[in-house]
Amino acid sequence: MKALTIAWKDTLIRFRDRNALLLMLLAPLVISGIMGAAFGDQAATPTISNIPLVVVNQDQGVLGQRFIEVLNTGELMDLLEPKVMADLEAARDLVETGNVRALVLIPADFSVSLETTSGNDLASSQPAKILIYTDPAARISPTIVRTVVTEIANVFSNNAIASEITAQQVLEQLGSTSPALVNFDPVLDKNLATLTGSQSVAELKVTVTSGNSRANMNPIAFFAPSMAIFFLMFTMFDGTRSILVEQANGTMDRLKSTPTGISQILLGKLLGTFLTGTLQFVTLVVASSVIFGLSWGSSIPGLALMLVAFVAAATAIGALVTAFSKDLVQANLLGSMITLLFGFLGGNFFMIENFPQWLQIVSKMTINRWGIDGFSDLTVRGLGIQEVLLEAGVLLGIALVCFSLAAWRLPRRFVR
Amino acid sequence: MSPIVQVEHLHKQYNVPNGIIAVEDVSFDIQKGEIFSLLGPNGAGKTTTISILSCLLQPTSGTVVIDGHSVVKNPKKVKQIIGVVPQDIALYPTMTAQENLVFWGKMYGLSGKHLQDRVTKVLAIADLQERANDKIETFSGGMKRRINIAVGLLHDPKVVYLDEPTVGIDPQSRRRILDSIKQLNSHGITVLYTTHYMEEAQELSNRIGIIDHGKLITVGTLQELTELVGQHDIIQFEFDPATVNLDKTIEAFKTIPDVDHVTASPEANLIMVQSRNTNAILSLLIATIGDTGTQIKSLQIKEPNLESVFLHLTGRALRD
Repeated sequence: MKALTIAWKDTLIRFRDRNALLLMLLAPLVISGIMGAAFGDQAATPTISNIPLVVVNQDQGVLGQRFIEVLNTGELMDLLEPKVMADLEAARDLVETGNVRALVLIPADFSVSLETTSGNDLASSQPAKILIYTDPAARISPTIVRTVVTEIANVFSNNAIASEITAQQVLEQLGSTSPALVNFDPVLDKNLATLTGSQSVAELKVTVTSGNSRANMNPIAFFAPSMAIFFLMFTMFDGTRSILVEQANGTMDRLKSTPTGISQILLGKLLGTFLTGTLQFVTLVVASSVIFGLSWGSSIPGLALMLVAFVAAATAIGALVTAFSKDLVQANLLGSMITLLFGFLGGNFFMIENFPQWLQIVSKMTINRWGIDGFSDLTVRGLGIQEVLLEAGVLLGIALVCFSLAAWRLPRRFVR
Repeated sequence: MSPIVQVEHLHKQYNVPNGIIAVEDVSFDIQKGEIFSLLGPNGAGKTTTISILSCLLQPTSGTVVIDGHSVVKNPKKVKQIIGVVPQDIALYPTMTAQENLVFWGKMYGLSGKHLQDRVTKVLAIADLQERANDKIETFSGGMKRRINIAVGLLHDPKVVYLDEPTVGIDPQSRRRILDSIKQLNSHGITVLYTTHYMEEAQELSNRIGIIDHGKLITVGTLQELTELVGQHDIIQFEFDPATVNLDKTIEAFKTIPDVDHVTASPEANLIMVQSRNTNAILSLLIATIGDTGTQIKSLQIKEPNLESVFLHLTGRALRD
């Protein structure tokens, strides 16, 4: 098939271009490393503080109140901004509308459950469940809230005289696991294991309604996919723009003078861009795993689906810009503008959850946002393919629409 | 011989109805095994004509039939018959010569051993076997041109279009290209050659079409065309730029009996005079120049050739 020959030729040319390789592979890895190092230091993480959350305390005893006091004490004061509410529905609304990142629901039997378990009557006791509802649009802060709540709950569980515990005691027991360290500190997982694994575990459970407990707090887990997405956009625009470059260099006319249909030529060009982007992303996945020790999650099918969906969407947008640009100069300009705009708006450089609500909605118009959400689900939150179906679906939908428009327009550029 | 290329009343206007007319009512045919040259200055319509014959441009009107197939109705078949060598170097510079040839061979539908054999063959024609594994970007201009031609020969076409294949290369490379075109033609390949170099058209062509401003002015063999001019010589003066006054000199020349035509090339400080009676007017011309205060740098007397034909037919020099 001639389209595959053209696609392979384009891929070969791109991977032989040293300047292109710098942009495709070296730049995203270096920037990911720098960003990871910067945000790995707690002193350099001003963006993760004052996480807004609501607490609904239905506990009939005193421990629920103690729990809230802990959230408002010591270094947690800088990290969290808890607001106590009585109305559960109103609190849920605040989460769903994105006004707060999480809702912590302390159940009515919280104190009773802990006092029972402290009396060593484990067999007959029913574990209390602290429920955490999180903002589905946010990726990092719900993970932090969940980690903190889990940590505190475990301290409560492990105290024999739970009813007499004070907020200060809880903080002392948290000890070296200073809550501020939850700012992307990979050490946290180890400390949590120390707290929960070596002592008798009370059956106090923390149930989280969004996400799970396999969160990867390594900042590289956010920045590696983020930078890969950003720099992939350059590759995609460069690839599709090569249609116009071939036109300017005379090779497009030569291709057209062979017994090869224009649809085969264009398909080959787009396949080449797709193949280049896929190889670029796979290389970045492997390289970031080797260099930074980053886990891209446990779902290879999920990763593959997101990769294909994002590269297809980026290729399609590139094709659309190429199809409707007046000339190569305009395609260059539009490509650069869209790459930068999508990068900033889509959350490649700033965490989306820190955006105002309206901007968070606008950011969903970019494929970068959907890509970051999907890849973060896999890398930061450790989710599987089921949880990225929405993101992948949206990206594939965008790809379909843009490809259709480009397929209508592109051949008309070459009829003279 | 029967025509393998038939062009009738070809017309091409860009952006109808108000766009420029690039080709206007052009008709010619090319016999099998012939080298046919389209000679004309830049912008005359040569490349537009070749583009239509290559199925790259749609004609506004008229018909083009290649070996019995219409370029409009059956372009795919036509593309299998023709080999196109564009004016620009249409190659991928970061790929080797071999990789380029294999890629283009596949675009022509070749594969396997046949493809490898053809690549080897055209590399030999280009005399670049030893550079097969070097990237095109490391080649000289002449070598790039030779690979550019080799690509057009990969699928063993019946007709090859060569659009100004010697532009911008050194004399040695030009000689090599002209020799290989003659060699190809000796193997029965029909050649359509466009150029604005009259020497190349004179050397290569069985027949020549002179094209200017989109119109085919005349077609014939070199002998037929030069007979159009009769015994007109061209007397070419090159002047010292410090002393030259072209307008004054031209006006003075026109007053001399037996001067049939006077044209100038101001950027080269040249004046060309056509006359049937060179011996009689030469001394008068020189005396006239002396009267205008202009100093002569060089003087050439050219017997009738394609340049004088072009001058005779269009009223201007080929290089204008």
